[in-house]
Amino acid sequence: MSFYEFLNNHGIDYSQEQEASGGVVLSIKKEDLLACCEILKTDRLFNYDMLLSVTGMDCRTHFEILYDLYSTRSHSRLSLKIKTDRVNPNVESLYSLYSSADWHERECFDLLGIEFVNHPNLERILLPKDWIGHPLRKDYNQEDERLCWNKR
Amino acid sequence: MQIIISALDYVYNWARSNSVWPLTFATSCCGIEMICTSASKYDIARFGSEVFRPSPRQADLIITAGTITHKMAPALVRLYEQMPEPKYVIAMGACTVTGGMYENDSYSVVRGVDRLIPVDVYLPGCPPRPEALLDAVIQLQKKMRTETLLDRKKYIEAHKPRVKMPEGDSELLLPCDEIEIVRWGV
Repeated sequence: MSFYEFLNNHGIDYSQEQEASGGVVLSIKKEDLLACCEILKTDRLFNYDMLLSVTGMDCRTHFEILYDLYSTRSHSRLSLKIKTDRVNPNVESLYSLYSSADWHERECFDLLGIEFVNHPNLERILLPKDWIGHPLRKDYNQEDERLCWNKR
Repeated sequence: MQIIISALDYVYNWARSNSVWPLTFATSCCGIEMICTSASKYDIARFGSEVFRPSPRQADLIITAGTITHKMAPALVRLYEQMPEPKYVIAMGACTVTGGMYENDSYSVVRGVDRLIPVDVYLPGCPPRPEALLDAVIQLQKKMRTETLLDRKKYIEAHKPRVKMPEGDSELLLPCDEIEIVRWGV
């Protein structure tokens, strides 16, 4: 059974596919993410049991989040791409499936301000706790008066 | 009186300038050069500085080897405050001298460690070679030998941190009202 047959059999709705150098990239709907990951993780053949990274991107009109999965059984990689709105961005947390999602999602929240619903401890990880704004957003402008000693 | 003190200064400065104990403080790639300097090929022990102390309470010198971010800055100031007087600072690498390649647009990097604590020797380079670090240690030793015990009070006054520690739950360092904000460069 090929991978795409497997996806169709389980009713995973992937709208776009492309072969990247690291493996397959699938665009899926935001609402399907948790169910899709659960199928991919529990399946005996493909068994994507490892979450390598969670990467957020600001595409000006929307945010994209890229999840890199890895299978220790078949030694293959898979990337899932979802889109979320720019205003009030939120997506379901993958912490219930992969515990490595904890810090990756905190980083994504810290730098882009994407809210991960049902995350156990969603707070800043790289920047100080009382930082204002999310620096990797394209419209970020640092205007914090407390940091006047750091101005050029 | 002056003669006695200058004789005392000579002995005192000779002793302490030949046993400057640095603090083990490395925040990024300059730390690798610092380790290399303390290893057998360059051998910082020739200048009496081989004892890298893990605790700031036993150290005379802090070599700020590597980029200082806003998250790290309170930790650096706290370590500096915990060191006993007299204490010295070598700003090692471009990042701690001016901010280096993060100078223009970075949101998280402190533009030079002299905004936080007073610096004795600036050591540019990205990262500096071990020979350069040895040169900085020698320059520091020369500086220490010119000091006198009579100026100790003035010296301690000039070596206070230049920012205030954060209050409450905050983690951001605040500007200090007493000391003027350093503004230089372009």
